[in-house]
Amino acid sequence: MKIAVIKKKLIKDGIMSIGAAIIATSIYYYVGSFEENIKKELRLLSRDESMVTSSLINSQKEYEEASNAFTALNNVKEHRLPTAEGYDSAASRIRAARPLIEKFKKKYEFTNLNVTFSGIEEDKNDEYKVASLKVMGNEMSVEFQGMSDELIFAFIYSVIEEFPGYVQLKEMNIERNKTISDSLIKKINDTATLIPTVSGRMVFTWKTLKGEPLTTIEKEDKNEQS
Amino acid sequence: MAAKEKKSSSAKYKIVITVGDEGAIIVCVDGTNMVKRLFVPSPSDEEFTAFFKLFPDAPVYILVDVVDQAYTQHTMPPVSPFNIKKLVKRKLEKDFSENDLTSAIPLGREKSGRRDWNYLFISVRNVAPFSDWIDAAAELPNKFAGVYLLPVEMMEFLKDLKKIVFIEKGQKESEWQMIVSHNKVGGFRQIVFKNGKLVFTRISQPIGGQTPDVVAGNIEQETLNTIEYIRRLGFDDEKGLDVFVIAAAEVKDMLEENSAIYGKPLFLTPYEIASQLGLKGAATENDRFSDVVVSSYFITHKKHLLKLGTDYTNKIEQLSMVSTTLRGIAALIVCFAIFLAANSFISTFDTRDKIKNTKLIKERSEQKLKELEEFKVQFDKDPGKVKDIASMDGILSRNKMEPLELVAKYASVNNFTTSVKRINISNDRSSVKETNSLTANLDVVFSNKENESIDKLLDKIDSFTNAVKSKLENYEVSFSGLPDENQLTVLGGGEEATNAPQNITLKAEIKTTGKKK
Repeated sequence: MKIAVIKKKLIKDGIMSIGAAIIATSIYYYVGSFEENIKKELRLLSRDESMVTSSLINSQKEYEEASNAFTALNNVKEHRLPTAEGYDSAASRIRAARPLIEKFKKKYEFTNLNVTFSGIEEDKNDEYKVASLKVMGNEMSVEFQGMSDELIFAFIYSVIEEFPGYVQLKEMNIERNKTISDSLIKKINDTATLIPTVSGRMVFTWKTLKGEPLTTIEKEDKNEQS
Repeated sequence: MAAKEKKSSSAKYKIVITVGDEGAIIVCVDGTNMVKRLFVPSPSDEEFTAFFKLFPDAPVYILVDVVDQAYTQHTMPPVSPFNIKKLVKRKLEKDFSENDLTSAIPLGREKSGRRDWNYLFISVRNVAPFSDWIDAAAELPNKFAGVYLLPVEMMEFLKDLKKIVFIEKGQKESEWQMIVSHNKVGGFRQIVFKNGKLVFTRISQPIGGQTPDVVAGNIEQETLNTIEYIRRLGFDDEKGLDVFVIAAAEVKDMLEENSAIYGKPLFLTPYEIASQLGLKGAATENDRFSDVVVSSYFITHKKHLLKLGTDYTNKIEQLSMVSTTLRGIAALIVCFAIFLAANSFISTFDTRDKIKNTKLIKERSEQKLKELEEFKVQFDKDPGKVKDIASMDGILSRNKMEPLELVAKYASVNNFTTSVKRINISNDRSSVKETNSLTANLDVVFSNKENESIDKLLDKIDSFTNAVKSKLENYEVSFSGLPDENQLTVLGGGEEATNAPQNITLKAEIKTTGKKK
């Protein structure tokens, strides 16, 4: 008889135990699902945040680069900026150089000044590979006779600074033919003629940038793009 | 009267039914305190069921003190420890009835010869009225906790008794001990131990009434009879025997006055035992019987030596065990699930904080990104092109003034005593390679206008060349060697030179060192 009672109790206990276990497990499942959903939300949010941060870092980098480039651009003299043709023909180079040579010949009192140009070629040096520009280059030989070495150096400086693009002295050979003495100065004054004391030859490399000139971007377009 | 008492629902109580041939003593304890005791002659007595209604959650133990229990020593062959149990089981099945409660206690192995096993075989005849008590106890709503034998469990009782009598007093115990207790339900229970192990027990009924002198006489006689029995089991007088007699105070007095019991018997009253063993309320000074004290000791003692049961009680216990296990597992699952759920729930707070922080970081980043985009819109030219131009300007402008700078630096050293007759400059700075690419060759003429001595002129030349080298420290500067004294002599007109020549020409070579400035 007691066994029947115990069995009945056992069944009751079993049902209650299983019920309690199911309820507890359900609570855990519910809370666990809730936690998982929140974690999922965090994962998605973290991914979004990571993307935004990544974009921000890229954008900051771009901004800094652009900002630095614009700052650098302010230091670039206008006559060095790229042009559409980039002085890519002898004619254009001669047209650009002639007035300057004439000006310098007078300014620096050359008694003789002969300038010759080599052929113009694109300089395909690896260092010059950028997306929007080409570097066009040639050599410019100058044979001269002048009044003093100081004037010659001033001439060189002016050529480097005032020629369009970038000019660099490649070779120079100056010889003093006469020593400036009191008698020479007297002779110059008496005859009112220029007597050369130095002569020589120099070679310049002349490089220009060829590319679409910088133009102001339409703000509306830019706004649309952004 | 019992029905009026308040029902206790606490599960800390335990109940023991000590069953004898004259009835049963029921004792309920709470820890080491006896809370209630009752003598009932029959399980059908109303007081029996009423007692248990007061303690429905208390587990029930049965302690057997009936006559129909047999203890016999057996010698078993020296088989392995793994096989001896099977051998004992087979022998128990063979020697005793199927309905009997049987078991065996190992007494150790022989120390010499074949090293046989010694076992004490125990059997209790499961017949009325003893079986009625088991059935009644099993049918109670209380948890049934098993059947135990009083003589066996007295081995533990003996240990504590010896502690009180011998160890605390520093006396030496004998190899043999005997406990004689006067019980209400059984009579005179005599239990003999050798080296603390049960070897013999017998029970006898009082003859001639319950007066102290009659009881004392019965005890003396039965003790002597028991000693005669144990002589057959190997006891001799040289080995010594400690006898403990538990009886009423009046009986104790009579025995102490004039006892014929062997050796130095120790007489104790139930009250003295209860006091010394810390069994509170288990006995009063007027108690005559030791059942309650022994029962209280058994039920309060944690260690029980031998558990027996019928098929029916075993099944009840198994089912109870299943129920307990089931509840235990369910409780474990519930606790574990609640723990995990609580853990998850607490974790959500942390996750929510992280979400909040991440959202904040994201918003800030988005705001900064927006601001940057707005800044970028403010650029009115294509940043890519601007970057290209700036980059190319940096490259093409590099070192463009270096030849003039070199000349200017040289010129700053000139001291009007020298003049440069010729300059040759070779510059490959426009190329990518920068090492040693700028070279200037100068013909420098020293004019000795003041007709200074050679030594002074040479000092001036040294001073000049050092000044040039110092000024052009980032270049490699070398001068051609000066003409030697012979040349100077020649230059001076073929005589030993006392005055320096008018002009001396030096050749200077200035080169870039390859180090970036």
